[in-house]
Amino acid sequence: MADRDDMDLMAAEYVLGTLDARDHARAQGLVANDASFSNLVAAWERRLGPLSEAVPDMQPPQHLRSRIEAAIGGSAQVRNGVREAISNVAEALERRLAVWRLGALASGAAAALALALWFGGIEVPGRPQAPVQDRYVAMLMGDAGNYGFVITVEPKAEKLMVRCLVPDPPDNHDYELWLLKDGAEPKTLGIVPPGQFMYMPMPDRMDMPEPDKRIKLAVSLEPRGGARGQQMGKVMYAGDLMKLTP
Amino acid sequence: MAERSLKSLLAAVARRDRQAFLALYAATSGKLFGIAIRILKRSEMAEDVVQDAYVRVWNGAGDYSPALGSPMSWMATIVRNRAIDLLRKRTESSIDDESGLGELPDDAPDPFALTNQSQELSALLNCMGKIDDGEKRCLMLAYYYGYTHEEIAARTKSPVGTVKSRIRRGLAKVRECLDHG
Repeated sequence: MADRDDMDLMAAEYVLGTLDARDHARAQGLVANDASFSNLVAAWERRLGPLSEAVPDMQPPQHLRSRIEAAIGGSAQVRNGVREAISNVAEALERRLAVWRLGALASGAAAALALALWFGGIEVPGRPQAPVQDRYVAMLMGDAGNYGFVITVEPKAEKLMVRCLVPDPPDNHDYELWLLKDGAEPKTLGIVPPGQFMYMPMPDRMDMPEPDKRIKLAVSLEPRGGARGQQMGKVMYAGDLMKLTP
Repeated sequence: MAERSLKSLLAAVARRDRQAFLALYAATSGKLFGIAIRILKRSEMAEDVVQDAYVRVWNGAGDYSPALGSPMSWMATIVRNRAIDLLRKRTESSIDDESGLGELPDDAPDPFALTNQSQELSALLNCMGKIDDGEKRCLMLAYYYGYTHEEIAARTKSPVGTVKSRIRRGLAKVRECLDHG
């Protein structure tokens, strides 16, 4: 019982905010991992919360509202954008399947051809079937759950296609693209040029994901000109690079 | 704004209604910024914390339930938690507190003087009214300014041990009074 009382008072002091850095961090760990402690915290938040009514209002600076709108606007707009992109892809697939239904026999070969059409994009019926060209994609997501960049890699074409879904970086800053691999230093892939649709050259011997090797791409915010060999700046968006083709 | 309107705004925000979100911001940002700046003492840090909190509200309005308290108290808790986290992390790495002091009056808000109290607040104050003045003062300094035991000890010119026991005694009495009347 004494233990539980101690835990309860620790929860109370965590809510009150009197714990020093070490105990605060410890309590935070408990909130995340111990349901009974997090219930105690919630009960204290409810008990003490009404005290905030007495805090006098203070108007925040005007620019805060636009900053917040940008932070949440991004996520709503981008989600719609992604939804649209997905439905465009679905429509394209539908169209190709319709062509296939009309013109081809429902045989295994025809199905393979349909797949090749879909993934290769350039083959036409009657020509010898070319091997599917490998393609990889990474959808880089920000802290707020919004998509910032979609990056497609075609190793054979030696280029990265970058679709930027967020506004240009602030003045005197650049976005820089990085490749992250477990156990290795981040490797820069260069400054992301401004704009919505860009190509970037693919570096020699770029690591590609394999079943047992995870590769992440990340975009950081850097001073104009990039990190220039210094430590990587704040990561704004990141996502796994995934193989898109079979 | 009435609690009921805030609840319906939160419900609309949970459905991704931007207009409702902006109305919620207009109705609550003064209070939330006031809470953050009292704890952090610096405008830019308070802005970051308030921004984080609203992004969290935008993404998590659906998590709100009346069991967590009033909407205002729920949002205030999000802001206080973030502000105190930031404060503790910052004092851990660098102690440069003094430069920002003096921007704000150091008088703690006085909930007892508030004319328009919610039911929850008046129940809490009824209980806080029963505890010693010393205990009450420690609780208020901690809640409104996010001070640690050491900082309260310095402000009230009392030994740290005394502050610790005042706070624990005060909290235990408030809990007993609120939970069992």
